[in-house]
Amino acid sequence: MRSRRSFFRPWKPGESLPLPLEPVVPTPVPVKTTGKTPGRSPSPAKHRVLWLAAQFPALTWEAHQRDSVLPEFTALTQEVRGQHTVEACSMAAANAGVRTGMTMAAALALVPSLTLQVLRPEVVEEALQGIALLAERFTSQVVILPPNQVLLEVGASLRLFGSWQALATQFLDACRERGFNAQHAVATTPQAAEWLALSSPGTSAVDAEQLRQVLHDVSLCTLNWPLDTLQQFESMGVRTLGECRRLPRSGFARRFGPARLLLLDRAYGVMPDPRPTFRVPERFAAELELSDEIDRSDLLVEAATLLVERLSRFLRTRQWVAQEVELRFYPLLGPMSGFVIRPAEAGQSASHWIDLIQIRLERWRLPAPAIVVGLYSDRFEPASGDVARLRFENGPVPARQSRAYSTLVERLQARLGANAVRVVRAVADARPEYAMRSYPVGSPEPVLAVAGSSPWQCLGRYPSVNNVQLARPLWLRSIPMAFSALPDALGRICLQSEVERIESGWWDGRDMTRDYYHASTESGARVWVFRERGVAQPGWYLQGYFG
Amino acid sequence: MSDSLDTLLANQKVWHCRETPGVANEQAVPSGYAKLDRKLPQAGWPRGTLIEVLTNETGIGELRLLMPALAGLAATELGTIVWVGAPYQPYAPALQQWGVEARRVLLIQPETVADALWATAEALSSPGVLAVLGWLPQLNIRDSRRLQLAAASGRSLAFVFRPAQARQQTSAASLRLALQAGSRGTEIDLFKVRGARPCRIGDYEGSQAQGIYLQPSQATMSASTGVPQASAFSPTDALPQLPG
Repeated sequence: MRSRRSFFRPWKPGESLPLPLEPVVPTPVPVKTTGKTPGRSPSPAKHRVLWLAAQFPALTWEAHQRDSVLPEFTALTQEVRGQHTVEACSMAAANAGVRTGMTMAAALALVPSLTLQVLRPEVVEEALQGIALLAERFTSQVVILPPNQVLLEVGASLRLFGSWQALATQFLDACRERGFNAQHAVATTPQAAEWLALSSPGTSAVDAEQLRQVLHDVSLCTLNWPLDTLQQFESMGVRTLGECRRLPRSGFARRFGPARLLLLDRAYGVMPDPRPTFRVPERFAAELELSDEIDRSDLLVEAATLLVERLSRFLRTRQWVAQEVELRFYPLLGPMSGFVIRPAEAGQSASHWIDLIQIRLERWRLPAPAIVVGLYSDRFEPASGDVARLRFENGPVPARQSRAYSTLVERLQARLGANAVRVVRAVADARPEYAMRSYPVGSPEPVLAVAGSSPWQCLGRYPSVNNVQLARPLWLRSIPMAFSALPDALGRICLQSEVERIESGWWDGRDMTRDYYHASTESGARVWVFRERGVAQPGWYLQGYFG
Repeated sequence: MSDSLDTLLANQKVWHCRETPGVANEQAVPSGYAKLDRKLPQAGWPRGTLIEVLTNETGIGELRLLMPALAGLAATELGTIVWVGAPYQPYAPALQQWGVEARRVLLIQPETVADALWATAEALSSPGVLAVLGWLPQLNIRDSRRLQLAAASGRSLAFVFRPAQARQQTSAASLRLALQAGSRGTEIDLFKVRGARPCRIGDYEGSQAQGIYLQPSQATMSASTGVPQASAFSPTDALPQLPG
């Protein structure tokens, strides 16, 4: 009766969430075994859950060093709020006094011969993924904790490796062989292992009692909590996890939030702590051995068609589309050759890929006849059908070009190159040369001065008298042409409008002070001309044609 | 029908003075110029067929001629306007002012004549294209027939810009016109019109163009610069004498 009343008690706004004041320990439900289902497999043998946390303190540096050969004195920099600061550096540079967080200038003052390189986060990410792949050799459950930690559930692998110590040694040695140095800790909960690897490397806590003991002395500074929270704890005289646990739970939840309480409960193993498991990225690779060496493009297309059909089956079973595929040709002797096809829109259908491969092969010159053709792809995304958006959904509808458009762009880019197919955007800038950007389709859209709709308003079907001054020419010479350099054929020029004065750009060093006029030439062309101002000998220039 | 008549009709030298059935079903796009619309067989630019514009000059109205039609088309239908091998940079703010959204425009800059021809044909046969503007200085009869076929397979507006000398060459285009600028506006010479009579249209912009430029008498002297407005000068000799 009492419990029911408390269950239905309405929750008032302003009141903190009704959290269980005492930790709820899930009581094991006895499994009823009936003789009627003899075929049922018994529940898997319960093993002791044990987490190994490996922390890679110098992962940033080690990953870059593995990726490319770096000089002895090197620092990796990263832009933080417009300032380049040192993120990681070589041992020699560190010995010379270069530290993380230093500005570029300070580091260069210390070591003038320092080589600076921009940090590439994708290299670090890839390195961590590589470590996770390596960890898959030791256990089936690996968790990646960016930026530089990996968790392994080793309890299930103990029978194979004998002891967790042997497993940890093997794993860390394998990491060291690849140039990654780690510190580790072992605990019965993932959260505790994560913290222990940071605060006291080498510790192990293989049962609940040991766990309580080692966690007791872990400093709160290890936790990635905000500084003001830590200061609050400091003012209360609480410095370690053990002291933290001694605080009243309700007060703790009210002051520091129920999420932090949950975190502590998880670390102590009181609450379950499910973690997303690392999944090995899938990759498609198919090769076709030809009966004879061939270099005829139509035969190569046929070989590629067989491979693409396999790719298409692979994608269909996984409900995926491929973002890019790589086609390689291996000759009997000599190096292989090939190309990557990256369409504007990820595709699944075989005909789509064959079409693109065919266009590409028409212009591809094979260095030597191929005996093996290979097709590879490792970049996929989930397939999304053409789903109409609901009308009443708010927010801007994503600018998704039609299938026909992307097909056209792909075909054009496949033959002419990505740079030859371009789009234009109008920009809010008074200076005519900078009022427009043109860039290849598919490259990231440049940041425009005014986001959203275009700054240039439509003047109507035919510009009227009122906005004569603002009418812009349909053709623009991006480099204005001086009249003295123009051929005489242009003849005499007649100014046709009032002056439009453009003075702008003093802030970026490309300032211009010009008087623009609409004019007509003797041959009847309408042109846009300007005269420079503020110079000793103002010249006249041709900027554009009204088309 | 007898074979001999078919052969005769297939011959490009025979002028067909009636609309071919395939074209008649296509609705035309009003050009936006009343004078021109009166003379075009379907009261506008025909779709799905090649239109040749011959001119040697830039800025005499070769783009203004198309802009109202492109703007009207872009406002009512989804699709892209493809420019192949444009001689200068099409200026996005101006396109915007004419009512053609810049994001609807696709610029293609092929390096060779063969690539330009291929890209034009490719764009013409793509279903997502509203209009194709191709600058193809060299175009023989076989290529123009190829483009005509590509245009007929879609329903886009197909404009091909060629030099004035190309008038002497035969072409598969169903509409051919030459632009000639004069002291009183630009004249259109419709010298091949399938389904109507060839004719000339003087100053096609007419009163519409008066809006964009002030009459010389209305122009005033700008006090701040002292530059005489609406005055004639020759770029080579008169310029240095202008008061600075």
